[in-house]
Amino acid sequence: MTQTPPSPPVPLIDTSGFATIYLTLPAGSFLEEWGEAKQRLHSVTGAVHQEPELLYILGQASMAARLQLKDFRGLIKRVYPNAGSRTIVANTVFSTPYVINRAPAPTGSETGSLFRFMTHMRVRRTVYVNDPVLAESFIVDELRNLTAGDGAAVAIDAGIGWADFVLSGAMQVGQFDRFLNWLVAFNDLRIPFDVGGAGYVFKRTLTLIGYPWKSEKDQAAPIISGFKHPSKALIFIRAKRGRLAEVKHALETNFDPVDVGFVDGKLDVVAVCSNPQPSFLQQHQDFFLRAKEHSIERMETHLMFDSKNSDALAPRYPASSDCHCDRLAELIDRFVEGGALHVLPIGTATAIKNIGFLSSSNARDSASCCDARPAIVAIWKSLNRLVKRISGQQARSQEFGIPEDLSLLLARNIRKNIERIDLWLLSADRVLRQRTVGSFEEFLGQSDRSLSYGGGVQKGLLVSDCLMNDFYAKMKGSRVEFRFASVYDSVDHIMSIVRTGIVRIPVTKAFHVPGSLPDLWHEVGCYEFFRVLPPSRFKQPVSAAWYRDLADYFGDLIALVHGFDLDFHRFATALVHGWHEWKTRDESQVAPQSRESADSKEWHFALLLNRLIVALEFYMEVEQPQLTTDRGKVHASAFLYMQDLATSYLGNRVAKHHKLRSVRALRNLRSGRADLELLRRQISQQDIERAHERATRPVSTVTLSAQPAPLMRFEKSTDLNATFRDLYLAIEESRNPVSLKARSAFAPMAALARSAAIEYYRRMAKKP
Amino acid sequence: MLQHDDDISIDFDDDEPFTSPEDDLPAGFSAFHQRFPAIVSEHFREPEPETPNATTTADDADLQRRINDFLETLIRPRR
Repeated sequence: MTQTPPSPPVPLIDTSGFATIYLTLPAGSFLEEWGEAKQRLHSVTGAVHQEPELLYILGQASMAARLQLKDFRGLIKRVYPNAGSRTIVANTVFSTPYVINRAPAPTGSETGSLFRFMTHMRVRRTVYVNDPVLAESFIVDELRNLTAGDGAAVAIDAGIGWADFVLSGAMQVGQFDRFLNWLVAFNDLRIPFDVGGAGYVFKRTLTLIGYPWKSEKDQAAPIISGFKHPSKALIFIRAKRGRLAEVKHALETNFDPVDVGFVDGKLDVVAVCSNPQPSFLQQHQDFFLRAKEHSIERMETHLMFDSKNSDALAPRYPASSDCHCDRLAELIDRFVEGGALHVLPIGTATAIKNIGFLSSSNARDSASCCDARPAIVAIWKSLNRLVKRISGQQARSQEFGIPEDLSLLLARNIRKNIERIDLWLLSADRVLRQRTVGSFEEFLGQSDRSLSYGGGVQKGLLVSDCLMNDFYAKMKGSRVEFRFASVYDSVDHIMSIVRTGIVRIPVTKAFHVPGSLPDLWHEVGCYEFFRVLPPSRFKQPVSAAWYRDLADYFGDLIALVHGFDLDFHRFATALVHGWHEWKTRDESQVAPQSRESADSKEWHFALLLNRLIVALEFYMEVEQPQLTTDRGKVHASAFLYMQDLATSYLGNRVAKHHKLRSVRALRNLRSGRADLELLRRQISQQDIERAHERATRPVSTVTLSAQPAPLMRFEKSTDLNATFRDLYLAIEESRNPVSLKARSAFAPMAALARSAAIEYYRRMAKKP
Repeated sequence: MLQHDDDISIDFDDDEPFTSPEDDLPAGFSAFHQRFPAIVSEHFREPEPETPNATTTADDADLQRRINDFLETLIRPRR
C-alpha cells in the first residue's frame, strides 16, 4: 500500500488577476486589430501595466490580449472588442494567479526566441469530495513540479469561469519538445488516491500556442527546432467562394511539403504540413498576414503530435460517471413532456420546451454540467410553481356557479401568471447562457453573449446561487434546496424577478461577491414574502405599492435577523451604503442632464429612512420591548437618530433638508401597523434566539493586507454566508469616512471566492 | 443543516402553501435598494402629520430619555 506524500503548503492567491481576451479574426486583419487592441486596452483602470500583452495565436484564436488587473471592473467598463473591432468571435477568460516562487520569466535576448502557451483545465468535481483545499494544494503542487525548470516560466492561475486552472507559460524555443511532453502529462496528472480518488485530475484541457507581438508590421516568429518527426501541422481553411484552386496553389507555394485536400462541412480545405521546418511559425505568419491575397476567409492551424506515446493512449476518465447531472436532464424531459404544460398557450409551451432542451443539453455536457446544476434546478422549480398555480386557478375558474367577479379575477390572474412565465423565458435563457459562456464546447465557437460583460464568470454565479440557497435554509431551519439563480445584468442595483428565484446582479458586482451579500439576503427574504404572505393575509384593501413596500420591509427584517445576527448598526450601515452606491457614488460620471433631480433624491432619502425606521422599530421590540409602549415617541426619535446615522455616513451627499422629510419617512407606520405586525410575527422567538447565539460566535479572522491570501478550509457545516459577511464587514470597516472608499481586498476576496467554490463542489459532488 | 445532499438537487416538488387562488402578486422586480414607487400618486399623497401630546409628564420624559439612550447606542458600531 502506498503512503500519502506529505501535504503541500496551502497555496496563496496573488493580489492581482488576469483577463485574457481571445479573438478570432477574419483572414488578413491581424495587424489592423492589433492596432485597435493596443489603443483600446491602453491604460485600463485598475491595470498593473499601461500596455496589454498582445499575442499572435495559432489554433482557433488569432490573437490574445492579456491584461493584469487589480480590479476587473475597469476592463468591463472599457468594453473590448467593441463595435469598431474586426473580431468574428471573442471570449474573455478571467483568472487569479497562485503565488508560485519561480525564477523570473525568460525574456530572450533575440527576437523570436520565445513562445507562449495558455492551457485551460477543468477538474473532475469528485477530486474535491474529501478535502477540497488539500486537493487544490496537491494539484497546484503537481503542476508546479511538472512545469519547473530553466527556460520556462509558467504561472498557475485559478480560473473564475469555465476553466478551473489556467496555465500561462513563456518558454524558450529550445524547450518546445519539453512543452509537447507537458501536453500529454497534463492529461495524466494525478493526486494521491485518498485525497482525490481514482483517476486523472483533469476532465478536459484546452491549449493555445502563440508568441508575443510587438511590432506594427511583421514580427520575427520563434524558430522551433523541436518540430521533429512525427509532428505535423494541420491548416483548416475556408476559401472565398469558387477560389479553391487559388488557395491550393498558395499553400503549395508557401509550405513544402504539404498535402492539400478539399473537405465537406463549414471548411473547404485541409492542408497537412507533414514535416514542419524550424521556421514553420514564420512561414505561417507570412501566409496568415497575406491570407486575403490568397483568397482565404478563415484559417485555423493546429499542431499534431506523436499519438504513439503510451500516456496519450491511456483512458482519461474513470469508468463510471462522476456526477448525477444526467438525471437532471431526464427530470426536465419528464416535466416538459409529462402533460403539465397543457394548461399554457401553445406558443408559451413550445418556448418552454426549447428552454427544456437547452437545460438538458447543458446538464448532459459533462465538461460543464455540475456548476450549472443549482441554477438549472432553481429555474425549473420556479416554473413548476407557476404552472401549478395556473393549473389551480384554471380548475377553480371552471367550478360550477362561481360568482362573476371571482371568475374575472381568476382570468386576470391566469393572464398575469402567463406573463410572468414570459419573463421567466427571457431570464431562463440568460441564466443558461451565462453558465456556458466560454465553456469547452463554446470556447471560440461563438462570442460571449452575456450582454453586460464579455467572459465567463461561472464561479461567481455558482457561489452567489449557493449562498442564497444556504441562506434560505438557514432562515427556514431546513435542508438546502436549489431555489435561486443569479444573473449578471445591466441593472444599477440588485433586484429579483418576483416568484422566480432569479436574482439580477449588476455586473460591477461580478467580481465582488461580499459586496452583494446584504442585497442577496434581502432578495431571499422577498422571495419568502411572496411565497408565504399573499395579499389576502393583509388588512384589506392592500394596494400594489403597499404590498411591494411590505416585501421590502420583510426582506430587511430577514437580512437583519439571519444575516447580520441582529447587529442593527451594521445592518443600517449596509442599507445606507447601498443607497450611496445606487444614488450618489457614480454621479460624477453621469452627464449633468441625466442626473437625478434633488427632489427625487430627497424623496428616495426619505424612503431610505422609512425602511430604517421600520427595521429599528422591530429591533426595539425584540431587544427593549418596554421602550415601545408609546409609538409616537419611538417614531419621532427613530426618525432623528436614523437621519443622524445616515447623514453622518453620507456627509454632504444628502440633499438639503426638506420640510416634509419626517412626514415622508414616517408614512404608513401608523396606518399600516397591523400589516407590519404580521411581518414581525413571521420571525419566531427561535429565530431571535439563534441570531443571538450566532452573534456570540467568534468572527472569522479576515485581514485586509495587500499581501497574497491563502485558501480557507471549511467544515461541511460551515456557514459560508457568515464567512462572506465577515469579509464584507472587514471591507466596510476599512472605508474612509469622507471618500467612502474601501481598501483594496483583491487577494482576500479572490481566495475566499475560490475556497467557497471548491467547498461547494465538495458539498454537491457525487459520493464515490 | 447547511449540507447539500446528493439527491436534493433534482427535486422539483414544491412545498409552497396553497392559499386562495384569487391571491396573486405584482409582476416585476423587488429590490433591497428602493425602486421608484409603482404608484407614484399614492406615495406623494402626504399623510397628516401626527400631533404630539399636549402635555408631558415626568414618566413621558423618562421614557423619552431611555429611548434616546438606547438609540444612541445603535448609531455607533457594536463590535
